Amino acid sequence: MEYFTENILSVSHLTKTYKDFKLDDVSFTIPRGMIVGLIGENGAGKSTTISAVLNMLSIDSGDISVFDMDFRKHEREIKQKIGAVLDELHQIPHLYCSDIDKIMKRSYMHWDSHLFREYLDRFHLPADKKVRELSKGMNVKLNFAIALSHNPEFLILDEATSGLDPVIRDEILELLQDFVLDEKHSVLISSHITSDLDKIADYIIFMHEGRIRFIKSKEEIDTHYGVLNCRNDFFEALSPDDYLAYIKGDYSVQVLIRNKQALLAHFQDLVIERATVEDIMLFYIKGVITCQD
Amino acid sequence: MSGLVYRDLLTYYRKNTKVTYILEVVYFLFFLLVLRNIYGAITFLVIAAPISMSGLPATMKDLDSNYKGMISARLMPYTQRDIVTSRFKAAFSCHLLYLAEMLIFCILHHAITGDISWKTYFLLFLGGWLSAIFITCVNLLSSFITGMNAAAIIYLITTVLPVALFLLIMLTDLYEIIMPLFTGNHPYIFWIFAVLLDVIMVAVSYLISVNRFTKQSAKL
Repeated sequence: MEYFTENILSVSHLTKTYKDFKLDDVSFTIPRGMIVGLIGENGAGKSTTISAVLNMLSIDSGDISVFDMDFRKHEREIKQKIGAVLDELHQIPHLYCSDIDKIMKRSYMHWDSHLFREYLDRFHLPADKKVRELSKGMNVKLNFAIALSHNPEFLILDEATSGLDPVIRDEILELLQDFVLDEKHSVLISSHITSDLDKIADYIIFMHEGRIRFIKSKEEIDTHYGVLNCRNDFFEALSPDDYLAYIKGDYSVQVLIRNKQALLAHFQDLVIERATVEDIMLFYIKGVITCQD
Repeated sequence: MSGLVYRDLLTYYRKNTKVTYILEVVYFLFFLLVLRNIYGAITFLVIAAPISMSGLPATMKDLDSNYKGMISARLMPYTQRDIVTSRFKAAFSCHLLYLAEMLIFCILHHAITGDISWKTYFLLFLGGWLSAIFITCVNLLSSFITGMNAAAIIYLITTVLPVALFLLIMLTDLYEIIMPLFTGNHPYIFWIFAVLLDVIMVAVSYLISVNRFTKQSAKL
């Protein structure tokens, strides 16, 4: 990953050990103005990483710096600038949507009640309804309204768009793109809906079994990576330098090509499909990795 | 941390149904108008009101555990120490309403019966509040160091035990032994001891709660 002059988040050698799982030496940075997607299978360590970034758990070793500040020493200041939407985490069910405005304006220095009401209108959320009367999707929209209404600089979303219908999910994705337009804000989004990340992410971090397997820009993935379906004999003819991973089927082989332009220069008739984020994830988990990129 | 205190208090009052408030009025009127003697005053001021006063920690623990209320709080711009402090503040702020209720009870009870001295009302009021502080501290401490089931059991014990002790004292000779401690010639030693006990209990429960809570990890 390129290193920009100012990072909104720096994670360095983060390690956390549980009985059956270890988050092992995780390091990455998130520059300002970027949307970074965090992908991985269930149990890969995504939520644990996000918990560590939000100071929700104590880490064994490593450093986490948000806005160039240590979370343990500047927790209040950092959280003033972070908006978080986490999966299955809703507001207290007995409160009205309007109660939340009163609570948040006493908590956040830059809480904007007018903006919060605008989001309630935009997402069709009635202010006079109790949280427990809202559907799951409406609760997610409410969480987004809250996360965006105190003018945060950094959004952290953990499976935040699951449960939303495609229309509102598309609207949320647009909001996120607008959010980073000024190049001062950033988004870290962990999601199984890889098509969303295909649409909006600037960088992809792939985690597997507690470790980061790759960090790539979306542009690099789109330009260089591809998926080739070919017969076994053609696959045997390829040089191992041409591909990162493969999955052998009964009659064909799926190959993750690392430099499709170079391969197309040799085999002009080849059909190499665009590699999506989901493709890359599947190759890394189910395929045979031939070399680390 | 006013946001968290406001959140806890608002949640506590929103969670209580109309039935809860109706029952509060029924208890108040029963001890004022039906059982209108010293025993009614003692029961309301020293037993019923303190038990009602100390309900917030158990209610919030239920919401923290079943609705991830504590994780929501952790996402807000507060440290873990702030969260514990605000919970303590909210729990003791809750006392204010009940203290006002107790004061109104004393005034109305005196107006209706007229046979209890203001000194006795004051001592009953003070005794009730001191026991409420103690019970609240126990419940706050249990909410931070135990799980939901254990906290609920402890809350139940702090509700049943005062009632059981009260009945034991009133229905046996213990009443004749204990009452002079409160109203005799030198009751100051007892009251000073009771106040000191509460101060120590508040300090100890707060420090242990902060210590244990800052070591916990929130589970997403």
